[in-house]
Amino acid sequence: MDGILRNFSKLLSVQSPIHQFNRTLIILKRRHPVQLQKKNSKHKPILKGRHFIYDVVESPERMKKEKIDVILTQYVEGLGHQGEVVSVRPTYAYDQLLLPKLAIYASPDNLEHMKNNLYQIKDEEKPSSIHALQTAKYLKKMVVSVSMNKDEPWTIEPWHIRVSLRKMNVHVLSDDSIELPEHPISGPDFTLEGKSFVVYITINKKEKVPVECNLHHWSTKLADRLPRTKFFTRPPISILPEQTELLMSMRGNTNNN
Amino acid sequence: MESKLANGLKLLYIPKKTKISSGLGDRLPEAYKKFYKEWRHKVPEPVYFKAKPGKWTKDEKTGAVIPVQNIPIPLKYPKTMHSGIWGGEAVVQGFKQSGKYKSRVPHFWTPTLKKSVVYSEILNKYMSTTVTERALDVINKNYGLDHYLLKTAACDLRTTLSLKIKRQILMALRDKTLYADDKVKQQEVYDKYKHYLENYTHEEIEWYGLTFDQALLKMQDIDELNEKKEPLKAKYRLELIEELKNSNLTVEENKSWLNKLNPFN
Repeated sequence: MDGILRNFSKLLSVQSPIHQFNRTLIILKRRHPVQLQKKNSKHKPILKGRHFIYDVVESPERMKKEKIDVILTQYVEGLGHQGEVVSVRPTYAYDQLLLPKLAIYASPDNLEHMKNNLYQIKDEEKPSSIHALQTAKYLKKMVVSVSMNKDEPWTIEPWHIRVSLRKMNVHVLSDDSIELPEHPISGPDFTLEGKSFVVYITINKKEKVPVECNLHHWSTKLADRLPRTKFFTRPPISILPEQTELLMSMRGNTNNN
Repeated sequence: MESKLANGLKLLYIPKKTKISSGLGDRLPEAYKKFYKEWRHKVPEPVYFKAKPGKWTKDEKTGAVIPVQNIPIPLKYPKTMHSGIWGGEAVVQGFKQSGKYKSRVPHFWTPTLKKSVVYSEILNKYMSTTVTERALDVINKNYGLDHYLLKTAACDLRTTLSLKIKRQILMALRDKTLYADDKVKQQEVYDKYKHYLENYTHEEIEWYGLTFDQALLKMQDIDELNEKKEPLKAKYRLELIEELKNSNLTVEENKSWLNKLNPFN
């Protein structure tokens, strides 16, 4: 029997071979029905060779699986808050939520418990939205290039940062949520070229995220432009001395991740 | 007359010999026999076919009323299944036939296995096992491995691994050895699952989930404990001492004239 299994099926095939046939649970039907057996007989039914010809009626495991409900016991990024009932695909639920105990089954007992607010927490302790922490993580990893004019005098204002972020597909809706460093940065000043500073962005008026910005001088004339550099891979040099440690720690975290 | 005949036929009926009704297996306790019947003799729930509901149907062509007989598809149980949780699935051996006048081709329908992890709340353990997709599905439907194992009959679990886990779960519930260091959690989990214990007695759990060979070994151990084996030497010695005490015989002196002779005088 084991030999047959080894030869006929690709059991436990971790890597998918070229001819992968995804054979799973199936519903079979006899092509030739078995003749009526004696009533209440204690013998095995009489089966001939033709009774072993099967047709596949359906294969339910090939169909897309229905979602199942789970109750989150913890905030899950991009999914929901603690104590929330979410419906997800069973494989994701089992591997990512139920096994690491981030969630429990939405069984009648557990739902009853949930009504008694066992899993609920106060609004103040919650993150502002289910995507807030994800966004914060994304922003922390960023190195924003702030392109300033090479010829005209300027001082950095929130809208400069907003426009630079917009170039990187991050849309900041209000300038109030951008907090610049206390010491103003003004130019054009070529000693600042390629150096970094940190601004704070507030998500949903709750989570405050430091974002690294890299200063770059840009000219409208093609000939005057400075060459392109890979400023995002270099170790950062701070414009403001009080931000040096913060910058290094931010880069260190991203490298580890 | 007919009833008498039926009675006579009953006398002719000899029950078939099984593992637990003949040989050494006959000596096994009732508790194990009950489990064995549940495991090997009970007909499992249909997995590979849909059972027709009701008692009678009408023939489509003739309209004749015929009884419904759901004859299960024979399954093969390979040895490898016992190291995993298959959720009632097994191997189907049969034929494929693409047309009426084509020759039939042998075919095996086997489940797709994957390596995964199951978690038991009672044992508080993560276990890496081989499972089928259906097994995970059934675990999800029953809200956890513990509920699934405790609810399902042995014939549907089938594999020795799942029966072994079920046995450990039952023993932990019976002896209350779960969460030994956390009494509050212990009571909480025990209350959740205690209604499953109603189906079993103390002795039935003792014998639940053992394979036939394991049961025989267990019986042998119990037998050895019961009959204390002492060497016959000790028994005979005691008997002899008793005999000597009871006997009034004094050792007679040898009155032969040879004794009087002392060569060293």
